[in-house]
Amino acid sequence: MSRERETFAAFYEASRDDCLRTVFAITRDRTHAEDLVAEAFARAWASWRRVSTHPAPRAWIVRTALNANVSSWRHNRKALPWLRPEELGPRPSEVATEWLDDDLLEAIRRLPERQRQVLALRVFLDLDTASAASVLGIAVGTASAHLSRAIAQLRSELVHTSRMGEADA
Amino acid sequence: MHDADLMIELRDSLEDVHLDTPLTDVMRRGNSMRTRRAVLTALAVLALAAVVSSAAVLSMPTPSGQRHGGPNNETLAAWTVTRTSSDTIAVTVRQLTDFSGLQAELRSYGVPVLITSSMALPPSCTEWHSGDYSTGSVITLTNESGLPNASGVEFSLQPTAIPSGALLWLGLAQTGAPPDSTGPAGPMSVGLFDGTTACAGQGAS
Repeated sequence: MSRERETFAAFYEASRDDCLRTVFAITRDRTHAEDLVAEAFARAWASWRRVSTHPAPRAWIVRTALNANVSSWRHNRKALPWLRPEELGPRPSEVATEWLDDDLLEAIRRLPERQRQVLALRVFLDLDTASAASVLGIAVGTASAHLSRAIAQLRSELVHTSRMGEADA
Repeated sequence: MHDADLMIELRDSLEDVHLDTPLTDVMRRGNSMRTRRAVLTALAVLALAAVVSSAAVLSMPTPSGQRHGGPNNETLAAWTVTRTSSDTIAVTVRQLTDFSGLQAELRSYGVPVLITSSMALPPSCTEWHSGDYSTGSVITLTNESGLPNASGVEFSLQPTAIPSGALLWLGLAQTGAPPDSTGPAGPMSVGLFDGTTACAGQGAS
């Protein structure tokens, strides 16, 4: 394996899950997020000499994923052989919810898009506010404000949910 | 709940989300993107050259090469190789014939080269030497019009600019004629592959 392949493979292994979580949190669609992120990594490999020297290659992946056209991956998925129902795994909706804190997920889903983007970049890619602002092409102050509002909204919703649960009990 | 705690909880909530797409699938798609980009670049260069170049008169060719020879108004060789300076070799390809002779001729000048009669990537050449098709200063296209009655494909090579271990690939195609005919040479793909034995051995024969 060439050094170029080795560095890309190491980057893919180390970054793919975080990038998927970020894009998933923003798009709110697990399958769509997987397509987007896979496409972004393919584009990164196609231009690896340039991307590997990017100051924040994981942010590059996320930004590319959010702008990507994923038609080819969907085409490949359609080409999968037909399976009988008993051969299929759990339905996407079951997969998407079995491991998630439903209240948290719903709270994230209700956030305005920009707040969700800033929050996802901050939480799942561990970007500082300035870097998140750079990825999204907005001012640092704007990103900071979105992040503060997102956290305040989430905290408010979680507290509300918690109280509702206590009342039900 | 503090901000940090909330963020940790958020992070933990998606801890079981994993991207399962195999690395090989991702790299295969990336490789196809590279190939498409290389071909599109070559076609763009061709189109540009076609616009800016003027047609030259070409008489009936002969299916043989010509070393150091200048243009001949009566019968022009299928290709001509001329050393123009200590580190520059000028090449003109007029007809898509005798590629084995051209390949041998260029190799005799010390150019590690693979010539194919197609713009498609050679099947056994899978690794771009520097990660992509870029050739830097190795090759300079001077005329790639390839139009009927034009003077063919002209380019110059700098063998000293070819990295050690690399193999220069020239994929020549024909403009405006069936693939099995021997009309004027047209568009050309270029690139630097890792010079493996399998890759070097599948060119013109």
